[in-house]
Amino acid sequence: MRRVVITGVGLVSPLGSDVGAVFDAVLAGRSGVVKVPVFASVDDLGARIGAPVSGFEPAKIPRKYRRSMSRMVQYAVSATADALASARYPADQLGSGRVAVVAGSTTGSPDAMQEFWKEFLETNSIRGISSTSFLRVMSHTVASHIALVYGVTGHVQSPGCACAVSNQAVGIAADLIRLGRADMVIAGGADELSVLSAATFDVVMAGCRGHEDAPHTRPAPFDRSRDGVVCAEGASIVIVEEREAALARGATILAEVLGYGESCDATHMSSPEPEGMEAAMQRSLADAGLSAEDIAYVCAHATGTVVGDAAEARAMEHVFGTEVPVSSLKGHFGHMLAACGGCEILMCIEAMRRGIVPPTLNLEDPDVAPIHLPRLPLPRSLPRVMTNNFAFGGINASLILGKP
Amino acid sequence: MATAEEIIATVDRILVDQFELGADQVAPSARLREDLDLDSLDAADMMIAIEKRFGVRLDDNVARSFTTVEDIHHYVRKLVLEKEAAEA
Repeated sequence: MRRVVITGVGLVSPLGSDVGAVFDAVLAGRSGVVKVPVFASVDDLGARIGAPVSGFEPAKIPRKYRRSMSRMVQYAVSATADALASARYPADQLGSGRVAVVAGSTTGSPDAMQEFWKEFLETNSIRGISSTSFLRVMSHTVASHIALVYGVTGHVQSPGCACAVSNQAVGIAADLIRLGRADMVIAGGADELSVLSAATFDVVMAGCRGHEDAPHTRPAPFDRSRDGVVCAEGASIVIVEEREAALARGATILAEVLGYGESCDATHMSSPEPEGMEAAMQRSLADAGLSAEDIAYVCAHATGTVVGDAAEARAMEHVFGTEVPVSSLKGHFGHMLAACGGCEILMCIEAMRRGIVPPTLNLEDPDVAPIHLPRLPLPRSLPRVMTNNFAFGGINASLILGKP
Repeated sequence: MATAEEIIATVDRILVDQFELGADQVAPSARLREDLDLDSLDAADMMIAIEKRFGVRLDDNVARSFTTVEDIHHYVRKLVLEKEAAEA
C-alpha cells in the first residue's frame, strides 16, 4: 500500500505563524485568548472573549485574488504558501493534475453571510450585493481559492464537518494518495472569528460567557471550572504526499499518516457520546494496524465544555487506560473550529520531533475520568501519537501520526 | 448641480479606491480590460459603487458595453444630468 507522509506545514494562529515558535509559546503556557469588545455590543450574547489572529497582512495577496477572499481564506492561502515553501514542493507540479486540495471551513465566511443578508433584507433587492459575496459565502470557498492562487488543477474538495474538518481533510488526503488518485494533497482547514460563530455555541449553552477581566484563564479543558468554548480563528495546512515520491524528490518527512478513523454518534446533534468517540479512535488504530499500547500521546479535542470533555475523557480512558498522556491545546489557542485539527497536527509533529508532551493550559483541578493529564511539559519519546476532533452532528475524527 | 469635472473626479476616485489603481492609470482613454485588468466581477462591483454614490441606476447592457474609462464618465454624467433634471 502507498504510504502517506506530511512534508510541509503552514499555520496562521492566535499565537503566531511560525510553527516552532508557536510550540515554544505552548510550552511556555501562553494564551492567545483576549477580550473581544464587539461581542459586548450584541444583545444577549454572553461571549466576551476570543482568540483572534493579529498582525496579519492581507495586502500581500494580489487584489485579483483577495477581492473574493474572506479573512478565513486569506489565512488559508497564507498558510498554504508557508506549507508549500516548507515542503520545498516544486511549483511546476501544482498544475500536473496529480495535486489535490482538500480543505474546508465550518461554513462559508460568517462575516460575508452577514453582509449578504443585511443588504438583501434591508432592501428586498439584490442590486447592492457584491459580485464576490457568494464567493466568500460558498462552502468550498477555502479549497477553491487555494486551488486558484496556486494553480492546482487536480481534485478539489471541501470537507465541511465543522470542528472535524482538518482531520477529515488529512484522512481524505491519505485515502486519495493510497488509492493512487493524487500524489500530493494540500490539506487543512480555516475559520474566522465572528459574532455568529460565538453565537452558535452561546445559543446551545456551550459557549464560555464573561471572563473579560481574565481572558487568558479560559477555556479550561478538563478542569472542574470549565464553562464552555472560546472561539478562535486561523488556518492550518499540511502538505500530504506519497512517501516514495516525497523521498525521491528529496523532501524532508515531518510525519507519517499511519491511520485515520471516523464515526458518527447518530444519537444527538450537539451532545456527544463516548461510544462514538471511542469508535473513531478504534477505527484509526485498526486502519494503522496498531493497538492502543502503541500510542504515546493523545492530543484531545476537549474544548472546555462540561459535557464534551467528560465524554471524551471517558472514551480515552476506555481505549487507553490511565497511563497514556493526554492534553488539550484549546486553552492556548481557543477553539480554531475548522482549523483546530490542523493546528493540533502541527503541534503533534513538533511534540514528536522534540519528544515533549505539551500540557493543558488552565487545568488545575481535573474533573473527568481518570486519564493522565500532565500539568507541565512532559519529556517523553513519542514515536506515534493520536489527535482527535469532534464536531456538532456527532462527527468523530481520529488521526494517528508517526515520527519519521 | 454636479459639474462634469466633479462627476469625472468622483468616478475616477471610485475606480482608484475600489480596484487599488494608481490615479495616473485612470486616464480617460484607459481600456478597462486591457489596461486596468478589470473583469466581469469588477464591472459588477463598479456598478454598485457608482449607483450608491450617485443615486442612479445603471443599465446592465450599457455597463457591459463600457470599453474605456471615458465611456463610464459619459454615461454616468448623462444619468446624473437626467436625475437632476427630473428632480428640478
